[in-house]
Amino acid sequence: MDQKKKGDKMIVTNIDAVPGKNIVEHYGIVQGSTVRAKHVGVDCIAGCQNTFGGELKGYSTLLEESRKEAITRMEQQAGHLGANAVINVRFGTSTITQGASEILAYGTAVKVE
Amino acid sequence: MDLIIFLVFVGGAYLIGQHIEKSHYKEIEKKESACLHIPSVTSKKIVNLDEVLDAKLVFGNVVISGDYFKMIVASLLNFFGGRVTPYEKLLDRARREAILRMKQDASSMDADMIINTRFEMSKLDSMARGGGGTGMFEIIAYGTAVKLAKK
Amino acid sequence: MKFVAREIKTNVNVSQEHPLKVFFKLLASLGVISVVVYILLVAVTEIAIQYIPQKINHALSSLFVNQFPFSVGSDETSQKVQGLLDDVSRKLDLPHADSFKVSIIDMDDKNAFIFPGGNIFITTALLNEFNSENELTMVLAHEVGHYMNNDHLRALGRAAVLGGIVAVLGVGGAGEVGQFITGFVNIFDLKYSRDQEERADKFAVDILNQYYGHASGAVSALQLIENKEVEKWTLNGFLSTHPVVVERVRYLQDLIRKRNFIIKGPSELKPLPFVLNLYEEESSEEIVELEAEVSE
Repeated sequence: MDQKKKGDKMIVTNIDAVPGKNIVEHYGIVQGSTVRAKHVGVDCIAGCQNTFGGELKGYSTLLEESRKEAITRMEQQAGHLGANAVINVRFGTSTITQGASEILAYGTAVKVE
Repeated sequence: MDLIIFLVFVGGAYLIGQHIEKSHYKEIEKKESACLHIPSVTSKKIVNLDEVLDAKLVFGNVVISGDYFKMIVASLLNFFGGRVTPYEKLLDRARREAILRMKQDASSMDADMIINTRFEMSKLDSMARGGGGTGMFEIIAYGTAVKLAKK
Repeated sequence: MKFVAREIKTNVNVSQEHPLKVFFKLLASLGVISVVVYILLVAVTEIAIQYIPQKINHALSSLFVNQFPFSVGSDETSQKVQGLLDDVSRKLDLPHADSFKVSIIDMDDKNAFIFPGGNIFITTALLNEFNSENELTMVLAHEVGHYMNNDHLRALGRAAVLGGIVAVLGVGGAGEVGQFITGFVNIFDLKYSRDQEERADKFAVDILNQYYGHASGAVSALQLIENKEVEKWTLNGFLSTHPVVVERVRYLQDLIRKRNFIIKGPSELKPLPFVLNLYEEESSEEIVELEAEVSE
């Protein structure tokens, strides 16, 4: 099995291929997910903002961090399989309990050259 | 007195929940090894569609629910924020189980691969009770199972 | 491209931290927060109490008084109890002497309480149990003691602050955590209540001694309130707001000894100033005895 060199960044795309490269092997589906809850301060502020409208910055930041973590986990899982790219990535979001939501990122792990 | 009953419930939920989780994980790992020969991929173009002999929509679904202990930890975490670790395990189990059931469905027609796999998840109990209770979810994984012409 | 089948050995999507560890860490943090909330409660109410004028005190009383059933008993009985209280306040020169009003409520629970504004209520069940005037005076003085120490205001203040905090948490979607915090704070509260009760007992036995010249009837009055022995180390004993009677009695007896109060025999106790003929559990012998002793 080829070892992934340290510093090799994983290529992640939303389309069926990696432009300019050939797919040599594929390893199946990989997924990364994280469940996150907001803390009570964010919620109080958001509750107030609810009356005035506009972007709920606290929540936006929270979900952005969650999404990044989900993608990172997906890349990690792909790396364990020896892949260096993940294609056809999709996201899923859903609420778990009030105030906690799950972000899922999944795609196909492939080796490109 | 109420406190004692509550603690018994929570303790029982924790122990039984842990046991169920461990045994489920063992089953999942066993089945995954068995199903390793049918990959599931999310893309369509990995396979040349001319080579496909047979195609069928396959899916696997799971309905899963948390236990009382998970609910308590989740509500405490709701106060402090951060990763809700009990539910991570729960959803991971459910998703892997859904994929396995989809693969079983595919192997019944002797498929070689499942393409264009997607996930969907929905919450089955209502949020009306101001917290959501223990949470009941359905996760489905669906894709097209294809049988390829052997070269 | 070809498919290479590889097993995924490590699971990136779950955390390896043991769930019990997570749970206890959270509980500990919650405990710390509860302690902070409790200190806040106590501090805020102690400060606020200094500044509450008498007018508000009286206004608050009307919130509570209307919830209770009308007083029972002949006007004579209520008047006599009121007369006793007025006599005590006058003779001992108690502050706010004119604001104390006694009413009798029809309840099966043996209890007595005082509300902001100086309204004292005694239940018929408790009134039934008194064997002498001394005991009645002890109970009345105990309630007045609470009033003097502003305990009723403390209870209100703490409830208000705690309610405020829980409401904020409820808005924030952490309603269950609010319940946890309330539970924790209540446990600390119990020690606080016991201190309040002991201070009120101290005040009462002082009054008793000054009015009658001796402290008989103080301890027996305490023993009337609870009719079951609750062991200190059971959960119920630990959690009851009034200290276990045994402890209160011991405290009182210590106090009586330290201050060299005199205890006289039962024949020296003053009989009740009224006739109790209203309540079902009276046996006929007791009525005859009491009627014989009625003197004005």
